[in-house]
Amino acid sequence: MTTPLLEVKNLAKVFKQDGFEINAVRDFSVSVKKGDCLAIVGESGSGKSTIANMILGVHPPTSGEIHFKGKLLSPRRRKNERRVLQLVQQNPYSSINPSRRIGATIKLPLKVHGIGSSQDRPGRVEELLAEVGLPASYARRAPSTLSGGQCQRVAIARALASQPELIVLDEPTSALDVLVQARVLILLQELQSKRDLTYIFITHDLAVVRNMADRVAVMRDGQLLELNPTGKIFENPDHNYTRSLISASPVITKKEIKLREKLKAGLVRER
Amino acid sequence: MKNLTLEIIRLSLTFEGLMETNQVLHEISLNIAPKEKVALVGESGSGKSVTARLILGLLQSRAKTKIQGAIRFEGQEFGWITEKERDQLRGTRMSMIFQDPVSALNPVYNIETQFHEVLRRKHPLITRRQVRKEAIKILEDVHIVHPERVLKSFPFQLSGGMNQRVMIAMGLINKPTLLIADEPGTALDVTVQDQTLHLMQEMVAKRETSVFLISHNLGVVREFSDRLYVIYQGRIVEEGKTEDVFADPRHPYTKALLAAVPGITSGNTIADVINDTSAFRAPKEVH
Repeated sequence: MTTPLLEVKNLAKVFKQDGFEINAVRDFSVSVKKGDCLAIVGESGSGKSTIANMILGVHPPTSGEIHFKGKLLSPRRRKNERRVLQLVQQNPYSSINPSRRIGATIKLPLKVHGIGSSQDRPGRVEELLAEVGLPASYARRAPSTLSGGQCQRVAIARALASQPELIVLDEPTSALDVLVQARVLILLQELQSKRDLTYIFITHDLAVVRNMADRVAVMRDGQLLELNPTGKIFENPDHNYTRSLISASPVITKKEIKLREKLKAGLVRER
Repeated sequence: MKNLTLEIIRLSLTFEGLMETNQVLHEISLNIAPKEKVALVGESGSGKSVTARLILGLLQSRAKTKIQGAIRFEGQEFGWITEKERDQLRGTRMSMIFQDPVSALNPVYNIETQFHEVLRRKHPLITRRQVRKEAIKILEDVHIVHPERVLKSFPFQLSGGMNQRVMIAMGLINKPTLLIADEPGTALDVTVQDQTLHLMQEMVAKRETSVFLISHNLGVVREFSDRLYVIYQGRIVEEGKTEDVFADPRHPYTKALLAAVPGITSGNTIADVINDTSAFRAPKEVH
């Protein structure tokens, strides 16, 4: 058996505040194969972003281990460990520096990680822009002149710049309109197969999960309730909470309404 | 002739800049009957929110803004009444709830003070005791468990879902005839969004309020509204009963919108999105 790309074992995080202890994540274990897309879903406050932050090395875990390609990642990451794990955030307007030109934003990770020589970096920036479907002339533009979807493409290009192997997508399309969302999702799928990327997709939009993920982890109150292949989650979920999550998502076609009703019928009322 | 709650007739809006003018609404017409739930669907920048602002009368006094056409609210023509009279309507006959409840509520006042402010618009001499009584009653209606505690809280001490309920309660406490809801709950989770929609449905049915829902989420629109208008670049491109439009979308833009929504049934259903937007300028379809 090959070693999984990412293996998380018994991860836990406790935040301490004013004498209170908040168990943000309790005993979370998962392994992700190369080229897979794992979705983490749950309400706000369920701990999904805390997991992402621990994987990225933003917070050290209170207990538990994170292995990447079989090697233990320490809370203090070396530069190369940081390079292979990248992040795309929800709101591109706040995750991109508004006073830097697009080209400079994408060039920075190339500089930090010493990728290519300084002469061929502008060329690389152009390639990256082309890869996310933006014209090369955008390198000279400021973020404020771009639309939300275009900004999100820049954020994706910046994440790709350091040649990562795993990208954490934290609600990458929640702030976008449906048409733009569809285009960005298609782009993410294309990039995944082209670059053999592994995604950890954090979202509360189950319809997006249905279309992107291979496996889904359902979280509530910091606990992993269910981890199953996407098909099973949507057809015959193990947990009641998963059923109620799916039943709550708004749908548009008759087929979807039927599925939702089927899941609702199987919903055993708690309390 | 039946009396419409809101009637918009060939409304155009143009912002005049220094160098260029920007027409953001092109002769849109729409109407809302009493007790009706009507949705306006479109992307950001399509003119949804300026329409809401015009109905609230917030853009009329802005400089460099040209408005043509008519807005009639309960038979009252907006062009004929004074700004003061328009101001009197807001918060009493019509009210609005916003996308993000946490930022729409005032962070430096507690909930009770904010209820007081709202109620004072209709009853200028209302006492603190009456405020508390009315507020507790309506908070119970929106299924808040400890209304007394919530009244003493500040918005940041409540969860997103609680704030959303408080805002719905505030929007409806003066029994308005029209409630404008701008993407209610979309800033929150699916479960909270679902609760919000059901709660709004329940509350407006009880109080016989008309709702003007502004949204880009087609699922929400399908579940909530009786009728809908699709807006693209300041033009209404399709209108009809919600079920008719979803069963048989006729305009290319509506079709593209519906195709772009990811579904929850089988995998990889995101269709290739139409990149050619020239077809979206096709004339309006009416069901």
